[in-house]
Amino acid sequence: MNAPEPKDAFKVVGTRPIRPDGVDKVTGKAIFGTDYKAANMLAGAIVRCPHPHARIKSIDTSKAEAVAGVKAVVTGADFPSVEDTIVRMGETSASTVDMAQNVMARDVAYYDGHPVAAVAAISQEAADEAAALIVVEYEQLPYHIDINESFKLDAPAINPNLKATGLAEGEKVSPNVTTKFPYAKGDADAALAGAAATVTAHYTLKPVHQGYIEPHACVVSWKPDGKIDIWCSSQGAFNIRGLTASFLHVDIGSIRVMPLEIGGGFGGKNSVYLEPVAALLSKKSGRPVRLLMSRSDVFRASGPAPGAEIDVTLGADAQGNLVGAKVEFVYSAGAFRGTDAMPGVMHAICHYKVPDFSLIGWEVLTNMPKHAAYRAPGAPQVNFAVECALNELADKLGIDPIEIRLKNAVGPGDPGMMGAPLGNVGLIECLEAAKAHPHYTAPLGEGQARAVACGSWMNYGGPSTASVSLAEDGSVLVATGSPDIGGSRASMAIMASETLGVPYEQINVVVADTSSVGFSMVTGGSRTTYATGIAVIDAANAVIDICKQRAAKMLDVDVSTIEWIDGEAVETGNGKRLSLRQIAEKSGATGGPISFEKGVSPLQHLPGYSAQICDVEVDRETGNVSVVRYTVVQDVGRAIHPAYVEGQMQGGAVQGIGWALNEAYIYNKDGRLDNAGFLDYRIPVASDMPMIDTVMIEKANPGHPYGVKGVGEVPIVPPLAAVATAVGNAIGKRMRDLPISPERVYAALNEG
Amino acid sequence: MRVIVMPPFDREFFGGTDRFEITGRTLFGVVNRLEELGPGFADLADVRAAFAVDGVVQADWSVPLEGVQEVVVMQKVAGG
Repeated sequence: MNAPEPKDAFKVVGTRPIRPDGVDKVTGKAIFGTDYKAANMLAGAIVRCPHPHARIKSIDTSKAEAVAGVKAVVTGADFPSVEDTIVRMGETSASTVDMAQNVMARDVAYYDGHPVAAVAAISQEAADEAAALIVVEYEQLPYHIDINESFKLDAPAINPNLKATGLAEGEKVSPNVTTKFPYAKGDADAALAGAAATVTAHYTLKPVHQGYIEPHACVVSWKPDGKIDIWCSSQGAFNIRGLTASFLHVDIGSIRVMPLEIGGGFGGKNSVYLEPVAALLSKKSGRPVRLLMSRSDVFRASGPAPGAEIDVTLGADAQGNLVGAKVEFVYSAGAFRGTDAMPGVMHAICHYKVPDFSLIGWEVLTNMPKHAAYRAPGAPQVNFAVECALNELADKLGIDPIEIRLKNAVGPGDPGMMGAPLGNVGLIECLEAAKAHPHYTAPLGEGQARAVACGSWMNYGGPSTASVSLAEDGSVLVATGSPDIGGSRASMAIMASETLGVPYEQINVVVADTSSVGFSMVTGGSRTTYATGIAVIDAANAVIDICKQRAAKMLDVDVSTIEWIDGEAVETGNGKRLSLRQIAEKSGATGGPISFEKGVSPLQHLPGYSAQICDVEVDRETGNVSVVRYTVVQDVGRAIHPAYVEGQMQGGAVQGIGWALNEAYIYNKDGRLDNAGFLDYRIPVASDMPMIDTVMIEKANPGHPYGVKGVGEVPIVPPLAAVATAVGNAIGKRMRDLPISPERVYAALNEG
Repeated sequence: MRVIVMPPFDREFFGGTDRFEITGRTLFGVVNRLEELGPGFADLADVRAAFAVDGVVQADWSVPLEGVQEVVVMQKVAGG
């Protein structure tokens, strides 16, 4: 595969047509997870533990069962035991024991909000009334919200059965350590000892939520024949199917998941929370059951991204060339094992050439909800620390912050973190574009300051399936198993249109249910336009081959004389043409309906890079920080639909700005979440933000027919350091603890 | 053929050893040999591991490894 150069080789790729699902979404016709209703459906309610850590001594459901209209009650005792096996989960894996216990506590509840029982009744009012009557007797246990407390050698164990991975033989650590991920090259200490300048600092971040607007919701029907239908929104219907089957000990094929429209996920809807509970309630009641999280439930019980404690030392020679780095961080995992330590280590310094380094990532349990992926999971936290330290190092050496990055940036052919040479990557072009951008040299107003930061994300490919078929009139139907979160219907239609040579409007894209198309991994990891796109292109090319064979039959010539030009079969020599419509209309007489389904598992994805410029203005009387100008420059590969690529860049940057300035999980002294709602957990809204400028660096990926790279995750990586450094520049103090709330800025301005 | 096992698999399955000389016609053969050296690895390999063959990540384990110098076994990276 080789993406054509130059870009004008394309007819449809790179254009900005209206998204196929746009009208439904702006007119309120689209059916999201919270909208779906089934006939004869019951309403469900979940009882959640009010303590951060407690043994469940008893659960009395008798009063709840006596409430008029109650049809079923379940607790942990109703769930099958789950063997500790590893299952596919996004691009990584997770223990089913952990996830099953997260769905419904068994003997121990591990966090404020952990489900302990559930009810289904004929009305929401009856379900809520019954849930309130379930009596749970708890024995409260020691708990840890703070990472440092949990990380202590003598800390009480949150889960005595936990076995840490990655430890050296005989290594003594806290009983709450889940993972140690060390990775080193050369002698970092010696390299740093010989550096012309070094910076050593400690950084902290709190857990933050993905902040999707649509709460988790599902309707599940366990039918008398043992088949289970699930209607829900998620980042991956096949993930919901596989995990639910695993928790309930049923065959995967007996579950059919119907994907509904999704109102945001950002990694937080790769997992399963409600579906197995609703399934058991449905099995007991014999009726479909709907479960819906409140906003408070979403915050208390679905995954935030890890908080972190991070130590960084960077060293450079007098010219600004990095000579060594030491990074050690501890991420909170929540109540169950996490997966962010490894990507944290792999993204700490991977965008720079550092000859000698020592990187150590730890994860520890804390009594919070099980942490979940959030856009470039594990990367923003450690990148915040490294990029802030690099800005400090540039200041120390008197070197421009973009210049020091250009001196050290990786380029094509440089070894990646795992040693394999990087492909056609564009960090250097991003930095050069940022340096040349008018924003970088624009005058600043009073109280304003500027900073830059970079970041990277590996991206991914993996398994996807797509089918392409022709209707009788020649219109094209594309079905994928990839939920449309960021405009993938449009990008799939564009790629099918480009391949087939038919107008975009002639392509109809659906997100199929799990029984109607082959397996696809989640829409996440910045993989869908790349991997599912290849499946669509391959299936479309196969349909072209079929059409050429059918045209040859219709024209009574050898297929070798047929070419495919602009969406038509053309007989070479005499120029006779047959349109898709003509071929489709006669398909019954030439061999039957025309369709092709293609499964792929490509891994020739390339990492994405971003350089960002941030201007802030600090109100010295209140400590309030306003972002007044922001520019995102990103290596995006080929932008299939540029408007949606720009949207990803803007959305990622805004979420990163929110992480830097506003967002944090706040627990009270009793270990309960104190800000479980959007009034107290403040995500940025449009009126908080300037227009986010975007500059797309289109450096094509040769591993995709149209040059696609993943774009959704890397834009959230740099903003934390860009904002923190800009605020620090504005007030003359380094800001190393997020969020940079007004009281922190005010304190920094007024401390001695 | 040199096989380099990256963290955490080196400590998790191979007692901290991260380099092996292994013969195998395909990645299936490499995984089977690694299973002999670190029991339990094969069960988890397709879920948790990615394989770079002479610097190129290879999804198809059946591709012949004739002439290959190096296979790097690394953990898959999660995405959101």
